[in-house]
Amino acid sequence: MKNHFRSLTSMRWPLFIVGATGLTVFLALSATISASAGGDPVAAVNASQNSEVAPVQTAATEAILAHQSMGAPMNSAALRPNAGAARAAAKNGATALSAPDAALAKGDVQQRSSAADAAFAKAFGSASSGLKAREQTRLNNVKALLSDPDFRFIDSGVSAITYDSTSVSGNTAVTVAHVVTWSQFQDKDQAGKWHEASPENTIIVTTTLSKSGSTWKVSDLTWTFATGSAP
Amino acid sequence: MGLALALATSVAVAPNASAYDKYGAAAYADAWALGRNRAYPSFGSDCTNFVSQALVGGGFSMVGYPKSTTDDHNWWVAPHYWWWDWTYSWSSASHLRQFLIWHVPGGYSQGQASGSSASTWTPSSVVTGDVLFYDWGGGEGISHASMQVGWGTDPNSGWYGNYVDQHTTDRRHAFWSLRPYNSQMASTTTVYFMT
Repeated sequence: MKNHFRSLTSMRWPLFIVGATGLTVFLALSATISASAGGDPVAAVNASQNSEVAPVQTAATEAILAHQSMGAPMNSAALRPNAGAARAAAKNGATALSAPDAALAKGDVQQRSSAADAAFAKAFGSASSGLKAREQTRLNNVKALLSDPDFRFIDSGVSAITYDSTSVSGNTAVTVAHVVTWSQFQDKDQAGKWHEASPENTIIVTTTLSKSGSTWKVSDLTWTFATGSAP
Repeated sequence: MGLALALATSVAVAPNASAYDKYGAAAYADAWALGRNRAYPSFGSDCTNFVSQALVGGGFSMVGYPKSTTDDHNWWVAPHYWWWDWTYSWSSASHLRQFLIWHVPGGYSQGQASGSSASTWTPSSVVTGDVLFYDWGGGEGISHASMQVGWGTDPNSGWYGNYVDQHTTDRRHAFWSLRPYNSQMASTTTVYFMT
């Protein structure tokens, strides 16, 4: 199904040329529609013609934010820029600290951990077993990190989500998005010195959703680092 | 990679082996970690191409030229008209790992670790010149490779321990788990060690 969507998405321009001749091509050729970022005129037409694009992207965004929370609990489901780069610059990057200079209070850690549990249940409750297992592993890993005395979690977030394509076919939808993720943390090395990191990476997230009643739910979510943005 | 291997002097297969020079491989990796050797192709995702070059730099012979590019028993790159031809195993991390497992002498799996690991050292059996493979946990399996080249302080992160050289993103002496660079480190990210 995913390849089918992709093949249609790749045909957007030829379809537009046909459409310009006056044929009503999109509904006639396929029930699948696509919406793309970047001012693609065909995408704009499709998006306006299909009221499902917005709710699909809303559900996908919720899943993407939940995914990030599974790996590094956020304090908000809103998009936020990475403040870590400025922090790192102020600290001269690789300079070691004699003690952690920033960390969440235990109460905050517990609150975020609980919020991550809730986000997992809400976003991935109807997901495939494979996705559930992957996200559960992320959640378990981050909980282990949060309890590690040599680790200080500071913050995490998603600063941008750009949808490259959104395809809807009946009760199934697939979105592809570039997502900018970040986290901030400190580690203690074997000499007792603390080091801060604030990685920011762009990942390409492919989300598959199914419609149950009037609600779109994520059934699978895979991702890879964008070229040039891997660790 | 601690077994006898051949020095590649051309694209022709030369299975007669001499010892794999792990320090030679590391020296090549150090020399080209932040650059591109025009004697080889360069890819947008260049990690495995870079590790393959370093293996050759350590005396690892190309295998199977000009046989199938898709068969992971083969591992080679060669000029082809105005560009290059190469095997999957030369340019793709999962295929290189399969080649190393199948090839004799090749490589041996030496365990795995979480990408969120802050452990100072890689397993003791993993030494300079060995290859590390990474599964980021996004569902696509192993998709990255680097070469362990020594130990010390990662100049960019300040982390201390074993470090690696890699391409895309190009890094020299990066902390082995890449944890300081990975906003997705708590994923199912796994590092596989080949020695």
